[in-house]
Amino acid sequence: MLFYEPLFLFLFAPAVYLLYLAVGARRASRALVLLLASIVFYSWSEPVFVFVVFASVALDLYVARRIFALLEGAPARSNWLTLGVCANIGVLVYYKYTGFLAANFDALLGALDLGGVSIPKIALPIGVSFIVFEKITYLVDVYRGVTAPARTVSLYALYVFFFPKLLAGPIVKYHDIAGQMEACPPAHVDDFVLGFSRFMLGVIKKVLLADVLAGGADLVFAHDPAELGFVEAWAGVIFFTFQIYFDFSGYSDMAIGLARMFGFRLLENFDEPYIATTMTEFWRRWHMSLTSWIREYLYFPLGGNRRGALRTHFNLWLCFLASGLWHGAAWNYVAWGAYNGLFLVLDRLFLARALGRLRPWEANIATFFIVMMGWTIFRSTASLHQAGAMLALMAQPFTRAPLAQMIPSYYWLAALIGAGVVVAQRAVLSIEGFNWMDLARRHALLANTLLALLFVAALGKGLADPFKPFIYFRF
Amino acid sequence: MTRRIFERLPIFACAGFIGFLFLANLWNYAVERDWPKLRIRSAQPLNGVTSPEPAPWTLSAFLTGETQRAASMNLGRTSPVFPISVRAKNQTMYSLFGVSGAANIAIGRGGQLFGWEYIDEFCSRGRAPTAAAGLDNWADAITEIAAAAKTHGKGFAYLISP
Repeated sequence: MLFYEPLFLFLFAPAVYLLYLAVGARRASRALVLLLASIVFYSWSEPVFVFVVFASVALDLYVARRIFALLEGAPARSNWLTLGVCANIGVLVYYKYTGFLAANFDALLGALDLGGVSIPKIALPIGVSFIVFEKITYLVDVYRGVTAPARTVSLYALYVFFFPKLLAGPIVKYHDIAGQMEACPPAHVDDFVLGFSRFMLGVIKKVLLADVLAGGADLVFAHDPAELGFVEAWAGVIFFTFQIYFDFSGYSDMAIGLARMFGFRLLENFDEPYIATTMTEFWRRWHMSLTSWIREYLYFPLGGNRRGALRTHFNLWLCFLASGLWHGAAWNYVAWGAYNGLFLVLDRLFLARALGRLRPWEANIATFFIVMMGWTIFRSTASLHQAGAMLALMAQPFTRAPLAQMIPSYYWLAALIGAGVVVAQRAVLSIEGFNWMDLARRHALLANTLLALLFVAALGKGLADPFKPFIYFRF
Repeated sequence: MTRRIFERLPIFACAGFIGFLFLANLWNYAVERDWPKLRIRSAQPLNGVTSPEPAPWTLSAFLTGETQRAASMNLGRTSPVFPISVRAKNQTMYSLFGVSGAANIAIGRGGQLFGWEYIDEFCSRGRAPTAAAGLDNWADAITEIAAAAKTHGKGFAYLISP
């Protein structure tokens, strides 16, 4: 169920919200409404896999209690943790990577003339990567003594299934939200207004910008690079660069807004990432919940920066390689992860210092360029060859496409709006004390009217056009 | 306080709009079987659009996701604001960008709109019907189109090429 599709907007969400308000003062009733609604929400999309999640939740609860019952330092604690983490990773590997591993093994056997293996077709359950990562935080938090095991089964189940963040994050760490889950706050009118406005903003970003740009990016990347020219290749990459930002940040806005409507406060997931002046800064601003997860649950356990410069660089690169693989079971995602890891290492070696010597907007453009090259690899889902061909085409300014006027003007307009947003975000940095929220508050009626008009337009477009799933639903 | 409520009116209006569509859906579901005329629907439905097939409520269809897809699509298609949404979107695409927002409509010379179905049926290089009845039907259909074009003040030319 997509957040902006009619079934969710005009049936599920209002029904759940009214029920949540109706049960009113009783905390347990509110939690029950949210839990049941979340399970219905997920079962609707994944009627089979939901049972795997139930079983996995039960295992987590059991393992966490065993860890908690043992004395700190007891070897059995880490054994239980290993079991719990492996069980979760096992689910992820089975559903997400079995086909990829089998296909590569098959190709290897084929290359060695040793026959082949059959490649299983396993459907990827929606949101599995996010669910697994969140569940791991619970086990590790209990192991580290950051939190106690969930007091009740329903409390932990609500953490796992909480529908606003269930399908594509933000990845919420157990210790960050356990208190809110426990309290299950009542929804206040201010929460409703702030949450619903944020939700509206997300719908606008997704439907009016990301979905339009998706058409342009799909149009370009569906072609063989031999049929494209310099302009088309750049256009496709620019479209995708803005598409993925508005798509994912739009989804995050919807998730954060929905949670807020119910009184929950999720952590931010984006902070104007395209104004970053180094790649390190970019990753502090892009998909912040994943970066923070990787730092706390992978980078630190690997030793972080405490084992010398070489090991630090290797850890950093490895974390981003893993992040790439987390995004998808394909070589282009692995290459994208390795590419980002490389630039993070280069940042530490010299790049951040070199960029620091430039004017901020120059460093911003350089970083944006590096990011765009990365997105070219990321979007080349056909093969790494496609990525190479696109990058080569982008370096040949005199190459023209055989077909003239391939790209309709409305894709350019959407990209121009996207660029305008980023330029505005950069430009206001020079105004001391400027804050977009303050501006919106000062002109609340105008801002809300504009938001409402764009929201209605987005709803209309959402109804009239076929639905385009969020990019991060694939991961 | 009053000022704050006033400033928030557009947000409440959008929430109210969603609330209205929620109630309209419930109402339509309640009256659909026994009093279909009481359904809340658009006064100007889209022409030539067939009613969506009901969602298949079987276990196998549910497990494959067919039920979910159909239910979601039907809810959108039967919404009272679906026709105006489609018209507004297509008009915006046509007026602002000069392109067709509907996959089944092509834009011809001078911005004239044509249905692809019509183009495929009468303008494609298919073989002419050989049976006498087929020819008669074909000629009747062309006469009808010519008359329709004439009533709109347009000329009509039908070209048969070898």
